[in-house]
Amino acid sequence: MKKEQFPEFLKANEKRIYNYLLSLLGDESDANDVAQMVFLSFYEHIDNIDESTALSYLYRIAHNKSMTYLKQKNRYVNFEPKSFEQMQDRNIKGNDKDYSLLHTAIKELPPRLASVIQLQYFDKLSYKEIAEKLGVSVKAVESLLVRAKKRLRKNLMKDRKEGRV
Amino acid sequence: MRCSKAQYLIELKLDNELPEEKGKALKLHLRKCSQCRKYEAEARELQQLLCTYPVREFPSWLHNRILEETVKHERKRMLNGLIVRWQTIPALVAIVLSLMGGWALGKTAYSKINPLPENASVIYSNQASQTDSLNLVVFGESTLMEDLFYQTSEDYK
Repeated sequence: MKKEQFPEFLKANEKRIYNYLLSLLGDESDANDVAQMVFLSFYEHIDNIDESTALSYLYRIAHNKSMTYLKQKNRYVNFEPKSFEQMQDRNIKGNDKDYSLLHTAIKELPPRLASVIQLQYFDKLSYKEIAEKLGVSVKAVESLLVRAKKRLRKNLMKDRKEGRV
Repeated sequence: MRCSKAQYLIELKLDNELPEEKGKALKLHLRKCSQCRKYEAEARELQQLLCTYPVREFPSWLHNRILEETVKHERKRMLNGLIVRWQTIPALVAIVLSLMGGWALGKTAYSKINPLPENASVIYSNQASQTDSLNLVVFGESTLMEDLFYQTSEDYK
């Protein structure tokens, strides 16, 4: 890919990567910080990236940067009293609880499976369009989606049993 | 049809990607298999959850910030390239000057220790036909071969 293609690529994919980061990090300000790191890292290596697999590569960068960010963040404990007020209410009822569980389940997916779920259900793309975006065959997309949904279902059942929010 | 195959087709059906001929076979299987009907109900529930998952818009200020950062990155990269080039020129000049200075010092020191004889060019021109190694062009320089020849010619005298 060429550097001149970056602004167009950013506009086409910023929303889906941002939502992916939100699902991984669970916090808007963290997602804002990591989104900058992800796209800058992508830009630095843009000359070596093939256009057909650029989106897959971007999802992988997003996943890796998020994991590194979370590890570094967990090293430092915030003792400010404000942080307790900002903590999520664990007694979530109704649909909000299901979304929270789904969010946790998506977070546990590998980046490849999470990307197909996002492209199918959040971006409302067809199998053919997803295959073009990720640079794989339609059969591969079918297989990835089936695997992704099986894992999501398994994670959701596990989280419900454990009463996780 | 096996249940594993049926469950695979159920996922395609929910995504509206199931071919018609396979849809008929799946329908027949679902009539007989309660386990797969239960699987379909669960898959539909998950599908519903996924379709209605809230999606956030990308902040416009963040889009602009990223573009600004890429411009800054490009400027920094060009500046670093220029700095490397500018640093290379004086380094090359310093190396060349050191080599020239070293050569000049060596020449001066060697000629002080072993000065050339007055008729050195005459000796060389007379002996040029005898050996190829002595077929040297003399421009007032002294070499080891010349030095050896000078010594042997003195012995000859």
